[in-house]
Amino acid sequence: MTTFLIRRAVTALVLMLGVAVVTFAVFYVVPALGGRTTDQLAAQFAGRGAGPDQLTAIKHRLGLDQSVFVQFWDYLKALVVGADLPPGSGASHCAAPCFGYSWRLHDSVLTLILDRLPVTVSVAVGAAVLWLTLGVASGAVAAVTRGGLADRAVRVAALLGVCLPVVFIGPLARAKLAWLFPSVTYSSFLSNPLMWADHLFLPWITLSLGYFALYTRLTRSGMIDALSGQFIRTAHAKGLPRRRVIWQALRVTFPAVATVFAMDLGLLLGGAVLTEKIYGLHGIGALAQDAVEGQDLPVVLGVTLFSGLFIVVANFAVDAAYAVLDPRIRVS
Amino acid sequence: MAAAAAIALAATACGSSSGGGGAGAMGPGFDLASKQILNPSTKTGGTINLVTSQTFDSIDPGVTYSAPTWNLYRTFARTMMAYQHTPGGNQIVGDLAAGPGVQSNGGKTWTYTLREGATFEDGKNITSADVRWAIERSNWSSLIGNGPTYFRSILTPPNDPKFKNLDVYKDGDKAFDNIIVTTDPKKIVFNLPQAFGEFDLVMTEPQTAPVEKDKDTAAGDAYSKRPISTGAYKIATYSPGKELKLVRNDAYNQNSDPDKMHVALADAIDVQLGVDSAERDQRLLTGEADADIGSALTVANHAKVLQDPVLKSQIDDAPDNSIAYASINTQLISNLDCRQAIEYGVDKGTVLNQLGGQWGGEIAGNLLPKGIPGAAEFSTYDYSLPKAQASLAKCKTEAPALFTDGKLSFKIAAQVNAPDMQNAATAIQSSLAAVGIDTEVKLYPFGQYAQYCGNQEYARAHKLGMCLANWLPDWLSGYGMLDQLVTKNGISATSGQNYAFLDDPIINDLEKQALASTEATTQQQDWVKIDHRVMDLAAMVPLTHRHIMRFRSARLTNVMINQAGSGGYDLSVLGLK
Repeated sequence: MTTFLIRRAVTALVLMLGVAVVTFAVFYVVPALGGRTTDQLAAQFAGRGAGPDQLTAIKHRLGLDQSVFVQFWDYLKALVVGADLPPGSGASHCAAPCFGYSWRLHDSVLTLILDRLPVTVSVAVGAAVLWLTLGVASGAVAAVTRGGLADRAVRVAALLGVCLPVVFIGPLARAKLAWLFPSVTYSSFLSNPLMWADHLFLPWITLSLGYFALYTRLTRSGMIDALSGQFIRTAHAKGLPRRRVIWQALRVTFPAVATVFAMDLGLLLGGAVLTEKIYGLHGIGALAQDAVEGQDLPVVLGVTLFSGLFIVVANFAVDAAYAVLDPRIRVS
Repeated sequence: MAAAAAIALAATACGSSSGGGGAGAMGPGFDLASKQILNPSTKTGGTINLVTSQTFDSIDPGVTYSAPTWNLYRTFARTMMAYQHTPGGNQIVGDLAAGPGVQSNGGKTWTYTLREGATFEDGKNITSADVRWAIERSNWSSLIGNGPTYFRSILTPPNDPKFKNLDVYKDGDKAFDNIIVTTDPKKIVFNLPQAFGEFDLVMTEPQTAPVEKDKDTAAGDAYSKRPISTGAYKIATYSPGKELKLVRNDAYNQNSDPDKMHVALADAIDVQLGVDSAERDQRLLTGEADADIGSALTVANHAKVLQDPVLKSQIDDAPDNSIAYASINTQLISNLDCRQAIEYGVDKGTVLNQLGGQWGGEIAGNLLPKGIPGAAEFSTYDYSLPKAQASLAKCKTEAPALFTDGKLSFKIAAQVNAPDMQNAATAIQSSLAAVGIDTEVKLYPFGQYAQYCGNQEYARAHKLGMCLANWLPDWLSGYGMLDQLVTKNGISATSGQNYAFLDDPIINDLEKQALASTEATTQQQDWVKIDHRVMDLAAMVPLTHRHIMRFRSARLTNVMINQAGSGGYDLSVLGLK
C-alpha cells in the first residue's frame, strides 16, 4: 500500500509539473510567438497614455523583464520557498506555497483561491448531491421498468437535461423563478444552512441538470447489463427477495458511477465557470474567467494548478473507492 | 478613465429586496435625475447596496484609474477640488481646499488654502504636507503605471535628469521643496515650469486626497488594500474582485465641510464587484440592488423597463459626456478630399440605430459634448451621398496612389467585446460601400485596442483606416476631451490614443495657447477652435454623444446624476427612505 501511495504521489507531482509547463507556455510563450511583446502586455496594466518609463516600471514589477525560463523557474521556486515582491506590487512578500501574486487584484493567488473556495465547494457539492441521488435513483427505476412508462419518462427527462445547456437554463431559471428564489448569493453554511441552501438552489439545479442526464443513462445501462447477468438469475432462482436482487444489480454499477463522479466533482471543484458567472457568484471559476479576460496570468496559472490538484486527488479517491465498492478488485 | 468605461453596479445582500424600494415601488419619474434632486431627504440609516460588473483596479486613490472607482472614492477620500452636488452639475468648488487656486506669476504659481478642522479617520489633522506626499507618491515612485500622470507631466521640470527615475519612497522628496511648497501646514503652493490654465481641474483628481506619510509603509503596499479615509465613509472590508464595504467615518468633521460635499446618510455602502451584467440587471430590477455606478442596463432589458410604468419611473437616460467616434487615419488616408468623402458618406442615422437608437445617444456633428463648458455644437458634414461621391472623385484625380484597383480600400477596427460598436462598424461599412469605398471590419481585444489602433506602424502596415471607440474625458474641459485624442500628445510609438495620428501645428499651437491662458472664456474658445479645425481636416467622424440608461431603486434618496458621480449617480450624497 505504501509503495502504491508513493508511486501515485510521484505520478501526481510529474503530472502537476506538466500542467504548469503547458499552462505557462500557453499564456506566456505562445502569445510572444504570435508577435505580442512584453511592452504590449505591460501596457494593459498601465493607464492611458503611459510613457516608456512607466512601461519599464510595470515590466519590472510583473517580472516581464526576465526571460521566460527565469520567470518559470522563479514561479516554481516560489511554490516551495515563497518570493519577495518588487515595490508597487501591493505586498512585499508572498509566502510559500506561493502560487503567484495577482497583477490586477494585488493579492496572493492562494489567498484569492482560498477566499473563493467555499463558494465553489458549495455550488459543486450541492449540485453533486442532487444529480447523484436523482440520477442514480431514476436510472435504477428506468432499468427496472425497462420499456415501461417510467423508463420512457426518465429517458425523456435525461434527453432534456442534455439538450438544455447551462447558458440557456441558467438565465431562464433566474428570470422565471425569481418569484420563488429572489436572491442568488453565497452566505456561509455555518451561519445559516437554510439561507445557504435557499440562495444556492438555482445554481444547483442549473448545474445538475446536464449531469443528471449523464448519471441516469450510466446507471440505467449498467443496471440493464447487470440484471441480465447470470448471478442475478441465480439469485432469483434461489428465491432472494426482489428488492435485494435489485440492490445487488445496482451495486455492480457503483464502480463505474463512482469513477465518473469523482472526476466530475474534481473538475467542478476547480470552478463551475458558467454557473458562477451567470449567477454572479464569486467562485474559483469566475476568478479564472476574470483572470483570462484581464490577462492576469499568475491567477490563470494558479487556478489551473489548483484545479489540476483536485483532479489528481479525485483520481486517487477513485482508486481507493474501487477497492471498497467492488470486492473483486480487493481480492485481485 | 478607460475610454470605454462600462460599469454597472448594484448591490446585493441577502433579502435586501425587503428594503422597500426595488421592483414594485413607484419611482419619482423617468429620466429626471440629471434635472432635479429626486427624493430629497436628510433621513439617516440603512445600507445602500451597489453592484458593478467590473472589478476595481485599486482602491488606493493615488493609483486608481477606472470609472467605478473614480466615482466611489469620493465617498471615502477628500480631494482638494471637487464637483458640486447639483443635478447635471459640472462646476468645481473647493473641497479640502477653501476655494479655487489663486494664480500668480502668469499662471505658473497656484496657491491653495486648506480648510480648518479636516482630519484623517484616525483623528490626525490634515496638513498641506499630506497633500504634497499624496501627489508625489503617485507620480514619482514605483506606484506609477496604472494611475494618471497629469501631475508628473505638469510639474516635472523639463530636461531635469534627477526626476527621470526618481522614487520618493527610496530617494526622498527634497527635489520638490521648491515645486510643491508646504512651509505653512494650511497652505500649498505649486510652482509650475510653464503655465497650465486648468490646474484647478487637475486638483479634482483622486491623487490629491491626502496620505499620511508615516502610515504609507512598504512603498505604498499598506495603502493598496486599506487607504486611510479622509471622507465621510471609511473602508470596513475589501475583498479584491469581490466586495467592498464602507461604513460611516465617525471622525469626519462636518465643520470642515461647510458646503456639505460629503454626507453619510446611510450607515453603510456595500459594493458587489464583478457581477455579470445580466445578473446585475436582474438584481437591479428585483430590488436586490439599489443602483449601478456607471454603465447602462443591457439593451436586452430596455424594452422591459420602458414598457412597465413602475420600472420606467426608476430609470434615467442621461448623457455621460462621452462620445462614440470613428477616427480616420490621416497618415494612411493622407488626402483631405478622400477623408471628406468618408465624412459625407457615413450615414449616422444607421450608426445610431446600432448604438442603442434614441436611448443610446444623439447624433454628433463635432467632438466637444454639451457638458463641456463653452462647447458649441455644430456639424461640418451632413450625410450626403452626392457630396461624398464628388469628394471621392476629386481625391482619385489628386491622389491616385491611395487607390487600389480603382478603389479606396481600408479596414475599420472595432473592439471584440463591444457588439454595439461592431454593428456600428458594419453600418459604416455599408454606408461607405454605397459611396464606392471598399472596407473590411476587423476586431481587436479591448485591453489591447490602443496597441493596434494607436500603433503607427501597425496601422499603416495593416491598412487600419478607421477605428471606432468611445472617449470619456477625465475632467470636463477641452483639454480632457481633446488633448489625447487629436493633439501630438496622444501619439506614441506603441499605444497612443490619437488614432487619427493627427499632428497639426495649428491644433498644437492652439492647445498651448489655451493652456497658457488664465482666462476661462479664452481657453474655451481655443478648444472650440480646435474642434472646428479637427472637423475641417476631416480627421474624426463623431458618431454619437452617448446617453446611458441607468436604473435606481425607489428607496434611494437625494438621487442625482452629475459630474460628481462621473456622469452617473452621485454616490456621496445618497441616502435611503
